[in-house]
Amino acid sequence: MATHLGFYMQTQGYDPDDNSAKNLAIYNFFTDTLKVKHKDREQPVTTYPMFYDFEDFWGREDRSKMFVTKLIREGTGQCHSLPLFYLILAEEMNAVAHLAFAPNHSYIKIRDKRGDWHNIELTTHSLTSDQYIMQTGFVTSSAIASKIYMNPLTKKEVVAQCVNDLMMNYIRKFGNEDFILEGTNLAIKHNQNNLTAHLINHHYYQELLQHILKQYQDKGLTDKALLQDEKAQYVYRQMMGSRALIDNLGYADMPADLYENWLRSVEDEGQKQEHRNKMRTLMGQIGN
Amino acid sequence: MIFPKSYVPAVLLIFVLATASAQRSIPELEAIERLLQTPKPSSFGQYGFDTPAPHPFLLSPSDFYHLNNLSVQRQNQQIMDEVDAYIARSMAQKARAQSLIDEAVREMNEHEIQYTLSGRMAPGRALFYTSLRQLEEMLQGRQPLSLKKAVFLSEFAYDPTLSWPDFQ
Repeated sequence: MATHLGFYMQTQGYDPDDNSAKNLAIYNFFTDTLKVKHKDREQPVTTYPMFYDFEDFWGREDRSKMFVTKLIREGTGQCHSLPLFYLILAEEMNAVAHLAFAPNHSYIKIRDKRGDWHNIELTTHSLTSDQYIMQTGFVTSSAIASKIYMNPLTKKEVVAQCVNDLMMNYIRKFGNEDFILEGTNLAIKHNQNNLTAHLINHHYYQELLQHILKQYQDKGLTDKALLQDEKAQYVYRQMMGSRALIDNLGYADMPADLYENWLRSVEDEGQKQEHRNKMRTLMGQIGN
Repeated sequence: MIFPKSYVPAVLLIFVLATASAQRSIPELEAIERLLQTPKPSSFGQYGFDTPAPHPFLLSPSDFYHLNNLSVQRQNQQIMDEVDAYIARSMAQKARAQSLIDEAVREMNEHEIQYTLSGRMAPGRALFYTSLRQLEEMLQGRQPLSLKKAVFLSEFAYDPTLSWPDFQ
C-alpha cells in the first residue's frame, strides 16, 4: 500500500520527502477513489475510500468490528481501526502522524510546516480543529491537563495502547482475570496517564471485589470479618484508588447516543468551513 | 487221518463255512464280521458332563469327577464371597475416609476466600501470553517498535485465523 501511495504522490507531483504531502496522500487514500498507474503494471490500480461503520461502532456485540483487519477486508471501520490503519501507512511511508484521544474516540493529529496542528477525522473524512473535540462537552480542563485527550501520542505510547487492545480482546474472550494486570501495568509503565489501562484496572478490581463479597455472602461470613480481612480491604482500596485516579485524570463517560450526535455534527456548516480552510492551508504548503 | 466221531460235525461246519466264504462278496463278509464283533461304546460326540445312571453302591469315575467339581465350586464361591466382603469393607472404609477429608476441607475452606480472578481455564490463551511478551519486547527496546506488528499481534491473539502475510 505504501508503494501505491508512493506512485500516487509521484503522479500528483508531491515532494516524496515532505511530511505534509505524505499525510495528504494518506488522507486522500482514506477519503477518495485513487486510480494510480504503477510502474510494474499495465493497468492502473484503483483504491476506494474507507467509510465509517455506524453499526456496533464500539464493538460491543462483535469485538472484531474494531479490528484493522476487518477495515482492510471490508473497507469500513470506526474510530479505533481507521486511525490505527492510518498510522500503519504513515509508519511504512516514514511519515510523522500521531494518535490522539477524545471522549470514547480517537483520531489523527499532524503538524504542518508552520508548526500548526491539524486533526484528521477519518470517521467523517474531514480536517477539524480542537474546537470540534471540545464540542463533545465531555472534555474537561483536567482532561487536557492530564493529557488523556487531544494529546499527540508517541509511537511507543501507541504500541502501549495496543497492549490495552490485547487485554480488552482477552477480557471479551475469557473475562476479567489476573493476567489483565500484567498488560495494563505494562501499558501504564510506558504511559503513566494511560486512561484505557486505568479503566481496565478499575473494572478488574470492581469485579474482583464483587467476587470476594459473593464468597462472604455464600459462606455466611460477617461484615466484621470483612472489615478485618486485609486482602479484601486491599482490593477495595485498589478499586477506589483507580476510580479516584480516573476521576482526577478528568474522565467522564460519554453516552453512545451523544457520541453519535457529536460525530454527525461534523456536517454542520461551521465544521465544513473549518475543513475547507485547513485543507487549503495544507495544499498551499505542499505547493498544490 | 482218523477223526474221532465227535469232531465230524465241527470239521464239516468249517468246511462248509470255508467254501461259502470263498464264494460270498466282500460286503456280506463285512456284515457278518460286524455281527460277530464285541460291542463297543458309542463313538458319537457327547455334550456336557457325562451323567451315567447312578450306581447304588459304587462311585464311577464320572461320579467322582462330579462330586469333586461341586467341591471346587463351593470353595471358589467361598473365596469370591470373601473377596466381595473385603471389597465392600474397603469401599466403606474409603468412603468414611473421604467423608472425613471432605469435612476437614469444608471446615478449612469455610473461612478461606479466593482473592484472584483466575481459574477460568480455556484453550486459546497462549496466543495472548506470547503476544504480550512480544509487545513487551518492543516497549523495552529489545525489538524494534513496529505499529503494524503490534496491531496484528493484538488482533491475531483474538482471531488466530488472521494471516500475517495477508495483513502485510
